[in-house]
Order: sequence, then C-alpha cells, then structure tokens
Amino acid sequence: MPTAPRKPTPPEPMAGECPLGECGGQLSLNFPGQPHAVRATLLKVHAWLKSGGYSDTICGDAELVLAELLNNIAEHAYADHPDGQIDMTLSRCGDRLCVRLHDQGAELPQGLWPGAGNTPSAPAPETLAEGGFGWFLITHLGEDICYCRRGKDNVLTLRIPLADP
Amino acid sequence: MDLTAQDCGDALLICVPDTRIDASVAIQFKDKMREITNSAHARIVLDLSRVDFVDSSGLGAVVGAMKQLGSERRLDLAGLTPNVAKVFRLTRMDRVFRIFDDADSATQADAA
Repeated sequence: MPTAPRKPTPPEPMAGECPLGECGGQLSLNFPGQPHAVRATLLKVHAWLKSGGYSDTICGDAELVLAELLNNIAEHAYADHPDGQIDMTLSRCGDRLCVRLHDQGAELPQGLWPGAGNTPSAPAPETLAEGGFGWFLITHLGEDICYCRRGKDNVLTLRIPLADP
Repeated sequence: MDLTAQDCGDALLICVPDTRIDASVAIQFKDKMREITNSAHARIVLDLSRVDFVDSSGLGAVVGAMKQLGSERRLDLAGLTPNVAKVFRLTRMDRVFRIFDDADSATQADAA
C-alpha cells in the first residue's frame, strides 16, 4: 500500500543553491562587517557581474542594493561587534541574481522586517533628510525579500533583476 | 578622500576625484566639504563626473554638505554619471538640487 507522501520540509531559502536550477555561476564571499571591507566586496561583485556581460545599469543597481544591505549589517547589526563577519552567496539564476546574506549581529528591528504591508518610502525631498533611503532603495530595486532570525543568526535572501526593464 | 577646489568667479567649483562616495567615506566627504567651502563664495558647484557610485550614505553626505552651507549659499551639482543620477532620481533628491550636465555649464549658469 503506497504511503502518503510526506509533506516536504520547506528548504532553507537559497542556501547557496539555485532554487530554479538555472544557476549560471556563483560567488561566495566571507568578509568583515566593516565599511571598507564592504566596499572591497562590492568592487569584487561589480567585476564579477561585468565579466558576465551585464550592462553598467544592471551592475550598478545590483551593487547599490547590496551596498545598502551590507552597510545596514555593518552599521546596525554589527554596531557593537566590529569584528563580526558577513557570509554572502550570490547565484546567477536566469535573469535574477539570488542573494543570501548571513551574519551574527543584532536582530533586524521588527518594524524593518521586509514583507507585505511594509514597503518603505523615501523621505520627502523637502525634508532634506540625510538618511532613511536605504530600505527604500532595497525594496524598490530588489524582489522577494525574506528575512529570518535563527537563534543568534540573521539570514536575508532576495533577488535582484539582471535584465534591463 | 581628496577634493579639489577652483575659483570660477562667483562660484567655487569642487571636483571629487574619487570614483565613489559611499558609506566608507561619507563622513570624511562631508567634513572635507565643510573645510573646502569655508570661502566667501555664495555658490558651490560640485563636479561629480568622475564618481560612478553613490549609495544612500553618500547621498546623505551630499545633502548634509548642502545643509551645512546655510540658507544664504547654494550647492549645485554637475556631471552626474548614469548610476549616480539614478540614485538622485529614485529618491527624488533631483528636485532639491540644480543639476547641470557638466561643470562648464554649471559655472556659466546664473547664481539664481
């Protein structure tokens, strides 16, 4: 007698593998959660994407989203842990760049958890705000953003389009 | 981060030789701007033609550089490269600054 199929356990999102099975290359990097290390990492990512033949616009958008995410980790999650490390895995999946970020810093404040009902807007220009643009840019240029807290770890995944709109 | 300044009559033209204004230099950029704009010029033109990357911290530093000039002086921008222009456009900060195609057209423009 056939046994009923077990309900599959949801896989950990994009744990270094392309969920679409269309992976066109992967880049895994581990680096300190500090602004200068973030800059060096972004330059590597930019060069990697350029070598894949993507346009300056696509490379620039991806670099901007990653910059905002990584600087958030460096400046907030690791504010009290300057020696904290960031693991980043990038996978080219069809026309998307699948991103997985892992750190062991402070939890993302609940109000900033990405998801339905939380689409941050940019500050009104006339307020001349000097900050508050980061999550707006991330959600504007990125897709399928998913954050979870696992014990003392933060895992954030998202996809960035790799095709000109 | 180095900035170079050039007297262009009514305007002070400041060039950013670096290719990035990002989180790792944002505070330094704002401090240098405060030092270098310590002149009598009522108008500052910031030439960004060599800058190919600005993140939200860099954007905030440019806004901060404008605010620290006070209400009597203005900061105009020139030579935004496409990815930098996009950050200003997406955040609508392109409405706050006068943005010129290049440094020449900016320095020749009226102060108003």
